[in-house]
Amino acid sequence: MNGPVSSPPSEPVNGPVGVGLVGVGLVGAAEAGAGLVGAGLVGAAEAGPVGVGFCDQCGKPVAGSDHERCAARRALEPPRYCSDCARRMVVQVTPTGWTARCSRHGERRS
Amino acid sequence: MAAPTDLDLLSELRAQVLEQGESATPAQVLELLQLPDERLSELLELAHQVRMRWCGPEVEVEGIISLKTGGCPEDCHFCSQSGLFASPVRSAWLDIPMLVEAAKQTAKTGATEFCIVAAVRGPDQRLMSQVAAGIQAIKDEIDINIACSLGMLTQEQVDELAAMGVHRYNHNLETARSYFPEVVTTHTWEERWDTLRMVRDAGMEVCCGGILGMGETVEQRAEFAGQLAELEPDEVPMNFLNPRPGTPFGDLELMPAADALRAVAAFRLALPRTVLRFAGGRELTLGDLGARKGLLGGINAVIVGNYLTTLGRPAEADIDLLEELSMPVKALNQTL
Repeated sequence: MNGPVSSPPSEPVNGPVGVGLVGVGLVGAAEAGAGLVGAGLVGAAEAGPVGVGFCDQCGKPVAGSDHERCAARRALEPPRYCSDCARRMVVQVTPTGWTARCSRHGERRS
Repeated sequence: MAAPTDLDLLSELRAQVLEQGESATPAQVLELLQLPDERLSELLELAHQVRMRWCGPEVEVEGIISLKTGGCPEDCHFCSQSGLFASPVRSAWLDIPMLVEAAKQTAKTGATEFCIVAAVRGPDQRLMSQVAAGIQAIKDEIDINIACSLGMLTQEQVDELAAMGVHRYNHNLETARSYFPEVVTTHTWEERWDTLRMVRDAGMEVCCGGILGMGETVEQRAEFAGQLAELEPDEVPMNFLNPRPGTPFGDLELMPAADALRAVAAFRLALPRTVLRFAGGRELTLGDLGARKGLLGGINAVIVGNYLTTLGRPAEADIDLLEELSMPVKALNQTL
């Protein structure tokens, strides 16, 4: 099953199904040009920059939801959901960082 | 004011464990786990003395990496990588260049151990081939001990991993035998034990620990310490439950810090000569102060940097702490 946790669009909506290969031929965040934010550290509870519509921890819209727990969790969690479209991302954690790839909006990294 | 029996217990264990090197029994561990808070400092001090006497001041540093993330068919109730739960963790495979890069990052911290982990019931041929290629690529570039954690193994796979030069194999029993069915239903505690026995017989070092704070009783925590002592692993990683969203244990409370520290010290007294490693969940359960107390209360190894799917303290923060505590990082030539 491995489906979405709550309200975000089912993942993947139109993207690839199943196993993702991290680190091979991924589109960088800059190329994706979709208003991605750096390092997943934008507090969802705060007013985010343009283009940040969804919480990267729970995938719910930033506006109109309580993200206090998400903000607390963010210090020890990589982003899980794309802040542009709320798709679940393929996340790879490494000893010193992480990469998170949205099938639509490319890769973010720490 | 402590009860006289508490004082007697610590005196008894000082003679038994510190001076003679004989493990605390499960019954003694249970008493330790029930010591009042006002005796905790004394318990930690004794555990530290035991660690220094039987293991020395060095601290073994390790980094870990997830080679294959998510999509696991097992139902370990604590794990965000089970494909049976509505976890946000998606499946991913790491490629060899990134694996080697992760090993390099780990080696830069001074770590002597690099553990390659896969979320599987047991490895299939594809995974074994990926592991073999990864180990060879790492060995070509970096001088570091390589450990693996790939689930349950067949005898043939054990032999293959030993031939690849795997230094240590991790397979956690996770919890007491009596509590295991509440944690995992898709395989048994005994199946895990069988893998550990084969690993030991093949000459690899055995790494086996678990997760505390999964709803087990203190009696079961003591039972678990006794079962680990019976196994005599070379290393015991101690994790503290970090409740993962979407898992059956996702709504459990964090283990209280004092209980976690009592467990660290009690496990040290049950396992006086074992590498006792701080692993996942310590940042949440213990915080910076608790981590320091643990290192002065029986711990002699740490996972530095990030974990498999979650983030940890920066490796530099732990290395700086070890330096401040005058605990040298174990060198590679001390592990061989």
